Amino acid sequence: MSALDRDRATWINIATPDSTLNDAVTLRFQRCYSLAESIKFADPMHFAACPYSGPIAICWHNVETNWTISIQTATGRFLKEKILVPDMHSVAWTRNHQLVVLTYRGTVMIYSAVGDLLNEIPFSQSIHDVRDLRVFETYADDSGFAVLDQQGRIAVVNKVTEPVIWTISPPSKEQVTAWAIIRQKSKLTRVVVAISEIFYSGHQGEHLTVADTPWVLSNGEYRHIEFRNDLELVAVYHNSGFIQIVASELTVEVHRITVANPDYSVIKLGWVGSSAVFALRRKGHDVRDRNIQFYSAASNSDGNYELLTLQNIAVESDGIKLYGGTDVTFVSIVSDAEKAVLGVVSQDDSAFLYEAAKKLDTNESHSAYENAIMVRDMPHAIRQCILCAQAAWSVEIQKTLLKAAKFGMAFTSGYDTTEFVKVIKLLRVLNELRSKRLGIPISFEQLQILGESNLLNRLIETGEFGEAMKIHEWLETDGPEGADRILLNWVHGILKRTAASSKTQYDAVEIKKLNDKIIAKLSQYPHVSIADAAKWAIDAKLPTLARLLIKSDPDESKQVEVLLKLGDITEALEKAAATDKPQLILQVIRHLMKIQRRSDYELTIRKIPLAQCLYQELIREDSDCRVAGRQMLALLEQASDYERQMLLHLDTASNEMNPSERLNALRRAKDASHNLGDKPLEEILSDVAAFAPGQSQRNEDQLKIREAVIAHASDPGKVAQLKQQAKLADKQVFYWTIEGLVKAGKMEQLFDMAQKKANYGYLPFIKACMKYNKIEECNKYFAKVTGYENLVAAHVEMGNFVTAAKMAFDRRDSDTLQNIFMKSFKDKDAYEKVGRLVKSLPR
Amino acid sequence: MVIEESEGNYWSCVEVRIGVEQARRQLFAALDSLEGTKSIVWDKSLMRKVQQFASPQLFKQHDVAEHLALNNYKSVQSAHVVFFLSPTLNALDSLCAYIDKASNPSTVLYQVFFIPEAWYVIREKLKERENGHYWKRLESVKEIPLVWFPRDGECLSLSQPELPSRLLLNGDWTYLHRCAVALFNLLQIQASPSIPIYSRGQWAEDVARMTHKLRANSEQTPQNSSQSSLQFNRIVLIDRWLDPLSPMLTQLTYAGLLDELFEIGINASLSVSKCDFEENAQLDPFDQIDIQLDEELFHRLKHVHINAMGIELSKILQEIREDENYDKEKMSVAEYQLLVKKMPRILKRKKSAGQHMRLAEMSRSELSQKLSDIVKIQKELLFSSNSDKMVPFIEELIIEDGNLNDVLRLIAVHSLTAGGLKTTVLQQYRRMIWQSYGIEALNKFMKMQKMGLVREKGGSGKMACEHTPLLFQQMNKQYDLLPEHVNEMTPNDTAYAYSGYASLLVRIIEEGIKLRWAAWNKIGEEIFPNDNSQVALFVVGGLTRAEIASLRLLPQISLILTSSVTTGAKLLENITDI
Repeated sequence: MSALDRDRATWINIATPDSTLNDAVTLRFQRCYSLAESIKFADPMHFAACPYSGPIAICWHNVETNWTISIQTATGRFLKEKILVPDMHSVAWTRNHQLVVLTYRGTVMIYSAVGDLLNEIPFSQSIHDVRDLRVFETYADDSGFAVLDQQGRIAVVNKVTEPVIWTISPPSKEQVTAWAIIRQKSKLTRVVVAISEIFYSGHQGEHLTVADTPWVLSNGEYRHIEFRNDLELVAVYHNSGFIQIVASELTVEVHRITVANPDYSVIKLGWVGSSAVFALRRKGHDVRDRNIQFYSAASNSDGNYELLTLQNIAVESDGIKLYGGTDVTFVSIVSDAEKAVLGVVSQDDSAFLYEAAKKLDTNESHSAYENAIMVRDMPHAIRQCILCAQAAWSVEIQKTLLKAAKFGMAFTSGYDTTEFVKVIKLLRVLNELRSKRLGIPISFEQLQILGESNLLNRLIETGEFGEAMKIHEWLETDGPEGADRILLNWVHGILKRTAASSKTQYDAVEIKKLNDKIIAKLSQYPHVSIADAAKWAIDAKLPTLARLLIKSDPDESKQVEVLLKLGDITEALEKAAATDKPQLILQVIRHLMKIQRRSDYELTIRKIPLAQCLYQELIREDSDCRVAGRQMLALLEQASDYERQMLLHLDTASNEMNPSERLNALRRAKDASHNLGDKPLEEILSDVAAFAPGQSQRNEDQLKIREAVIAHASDPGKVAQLKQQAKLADKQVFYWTIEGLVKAGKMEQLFDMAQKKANYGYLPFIKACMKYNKIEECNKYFAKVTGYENLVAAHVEMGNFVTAAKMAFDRRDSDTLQNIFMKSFKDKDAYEKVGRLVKSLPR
Repeated sequence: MVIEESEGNYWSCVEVRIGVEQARRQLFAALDSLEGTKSIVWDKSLMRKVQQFASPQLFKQHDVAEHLALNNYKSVQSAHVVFFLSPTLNALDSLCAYIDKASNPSTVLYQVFFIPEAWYVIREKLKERENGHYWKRLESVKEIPLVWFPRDGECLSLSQPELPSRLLLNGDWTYLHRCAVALFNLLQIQASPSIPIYSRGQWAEDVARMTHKLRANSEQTPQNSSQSSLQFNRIVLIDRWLDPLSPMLTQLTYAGLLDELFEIGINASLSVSKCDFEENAQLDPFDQIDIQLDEELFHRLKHVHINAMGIELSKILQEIREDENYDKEKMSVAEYQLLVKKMPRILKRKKSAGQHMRLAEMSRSELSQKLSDIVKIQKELLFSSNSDKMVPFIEELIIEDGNLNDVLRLIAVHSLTAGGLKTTVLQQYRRMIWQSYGIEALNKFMKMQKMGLVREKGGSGKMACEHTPLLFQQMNKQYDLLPEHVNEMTPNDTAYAYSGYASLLVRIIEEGIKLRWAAWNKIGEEIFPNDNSQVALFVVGGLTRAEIASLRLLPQISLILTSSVTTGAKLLENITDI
């Protein structure tokens, strides 16, 4: 029997209308696994399988009320061998891989796929005597669940991950006979309840109201309500032996199925894909006498198929899975594409193409071309082959079908191969997942709905990091962030184990080994942040490991961040300082300022000069001038930096308008210079400080000493006083008195002065007179000038460049002559004349 | 170095132009990242800086509908309000005031760009202010790293004149970090970014180390070959403070002297008194006239010694005359057409030559009357300086209330050349400065001492500079700082720019070139060991225009970078508070 034949042998028609085969509903029984070791199904027990081919949970009780749950893959590998739950009522799986366990006391416990208790949600306030648990899919990859109690009250949680409980109850006190809960896209959660033959429906926040159901049957009650995966149709079971297919709004009946042999009661109803329903039936209470019947959901025919079973059923979006002790079978609807390609005597183009491709590998390869040219619509045939390959379980058939598609492409031009490539990638992933070791018998369609990200999450959660990484690399779609997640979770797992083991936790050698292991792996993926791993290590209370890890992160800013998180403040600061990055150092400083007392952090900062300097800058810019000044001073005082203290006080003195503040600053500057031990400096600053009060008394705070002398030049007493106070030299007093007198126009007094003492010559008199434009006065003093140099200087001052030049020329004094020449530049006439003299001076 | 005329008559060397282009790209990449029309709200202090990279027309091409000042609260029609802010608290206050007062609908998106960087503290403050009230209103807060400003077409400057003061007075090393970041930024457009970095002096070594670290940490992204890139063989960093003396001396090149006398502004313009410039005493003496220097003739004349200006200007006038000298009768149509084309340039050159003649004359006049004595004393001090007594000229200048900066510079020259001043002399200077100029001047003088511009000889080490001191006498011998025959007319020695004194800084660089940077601190390996040319020189701490002129005599240097183009006066004016 060829692989294909084996595959087709499991096709069973459950509805064969008169027309063509293509319109028939054909079920495909795909044996996924045959297990050497049987999965232990006990009795009584609960069974639940995670949607999208996730793990299964098997629960059996050992003593009256104590239950044991084991979580296994479809192939029987334990993910968690034993979870003990007293008082368990029922279990169910959510879309995001979590197990919901309901107890009789009305508590819901959420476990991860590896059996870690994630959350506990008490329902006891809302309901009593629980009766049933239902999980429903919501959007954004989450699930909700609802609990029904004996009184008909329903408590609902819309999101398992963020549980908020709300309740709804039917208006009637009578026993609820069937119920369902769904969440349609962009709508509120909806509850449908049947009490005998009356249907109630309502959304979250509303009351349950009687639905208009003209199609209801009488003489019995409705026992099951099951919505199709797309939520458009709903199958209901009436215990008089009918399954009715009704539009989701409950208004129209679409189809009615008669269930034969009413001795059996339907204990489970459900959809197989979108076009068939199944009913699990039991005779009386005998669990061994059970069967499943399959019906087409659209055509009334007797072609239903019955299967004796003891198997457990899991409903998927595109079919159901039957879990037997030693086998797992997937029942789904055979697609049109499959029928077209693989169907017996199919006349479809794709069948020709498939035949042609098959011949290529045999000794009939010469006739492949003949088959191929029979294909009229080649792109269609290729598409069909690809679709067919998607659904195939056997790798061999997948290959043959894909080869056929590839062969067909040779006959077309410009066929877009994107889809083809994508399917190949996905099939590779599917085959990997379906391997016995992983035991995820997922279909192509399920994987499409689940999405890569969720798939990776599932693998991560079950500790399949290697597989996750491999699949991530094959799919190339989730970006680097996918690898990040896998690796960090891998690290997380290691950390958790380490933290749990008190032996390794404190063993330096073990920790070092761990560090090396983690670093070796993470460094293969440069975009993955070692710092994140280190942060996790901190969270796992493994600071030693975190310290080791962070050393290997090339990103200095992240190193600093982790060190801060570790509380290694000094080290963080040192590290930041070593980077020479001001922004980073400032970040640490700001952090310090937030968590420590001022004196503490200033002490820490002071140890690192780069940081100290930035801190000073921070202070300078941080607050208003006065506060900044005070803080800065405090810092300089702490550091005993007297030089800068003195300069800071001098800055204050220079900028301060208030005389007393100014004086204070000067005094402090003097004190700082005293502490500095610079005697001359102290002396001068003490003179400065001593002079200031007198200035204030005279209301001359803004006057410099020179200006003060000039202002009081005509008052010899005052001048003498100033001279003494400011320790002025005679020369200064002489010059400034002259200038003061000229400025005040006290020309007689000036002349008097010139008569009495002219220790510094008469040039200052001339300069002062010229400065204040008293040219006629100049001559008086010019007459007193003697000596060549003084005379030349006096002439130059008075603008007699030519005369001065002639004197220099006579003395052959080229330097002086050159100097005069320069000075005469503005007086064009003189400049020319002096220039001639310069030129004619023999060198 | 090739000097060529780029768009908008911008006369500059290729390297500077590439630097400017990079900045322009960064600027517009930031603007273009926002879709729709934009109104730029300016922090006024940035306006002049940024406008060096882009004209209003260029802004218009990038969907900028209008330019507003930060205190103009009129509502805008654009999709975005783009704030160009400097990272200061003042700018932050103004931004918050704008957000409070401007009545723009919330659909107008506020985008903040800090130039050149969003300083961490400022950013945090913005986040925290009013519990994030202002932060929430902002759509984005980013930075545009406009750090290198073109100067005179042959130098890129960071425009940070306060750097020496901040480093020496406050120890604020972040200035060095900024230098490193800026250098790294420039290396991004360098053809081979891993070229070696040579450095000399503490600051330079720190910057080199930080730059290298940035370079090592960044992922090497291959340059887009379509963009023009810089092609250096090595980067050379040197400390200004190896030679604090040269800026204290009077520059004697044309551009240097103009900068000393009138201060060349950030936009390559200077403003002079209109009545002086036009020699018209009738005019309002306070009227100023702005003269743009960014044109052909200035670039030709800028490095000419002031004494050679006459010759150089007459050459230019001769050229203009020759250009104008045509015989209309004998010209062919083609020649005539050519002339018509050339005419605007001839007229422009004529006008510009006139301006430079007047500026040269004014400079000459100032130099003769005011600076000549100072230059003379500087020379005397360079040749023989005595630490035992005050220089009488300086003493007299102080008594007569001469220009404070002149006085301080002369004292610095005295101290630096004499290897420090005796305590009594220092004390006398201090006292006299206080007596003539007041506490502010004394404060500045003390800071100069802390900065190492003035030293106490054999002092107790109090108020000492933390930078290595200049040993002038020794350096003079080693580097021949005062060569004998220096030709000011046709420069043959870098000493021409200071009329016979060679800037020590330039001399050290000359030696570096000669010895292929042996004994310099080196990071990285040579890629082109046999090619001594294509050096990017970065002077950390400022460079004078006279020194730039000197460096231009060294063909191995293809680009000059500096933290600021400075003068002695600017150095002193930028002495900061503690």
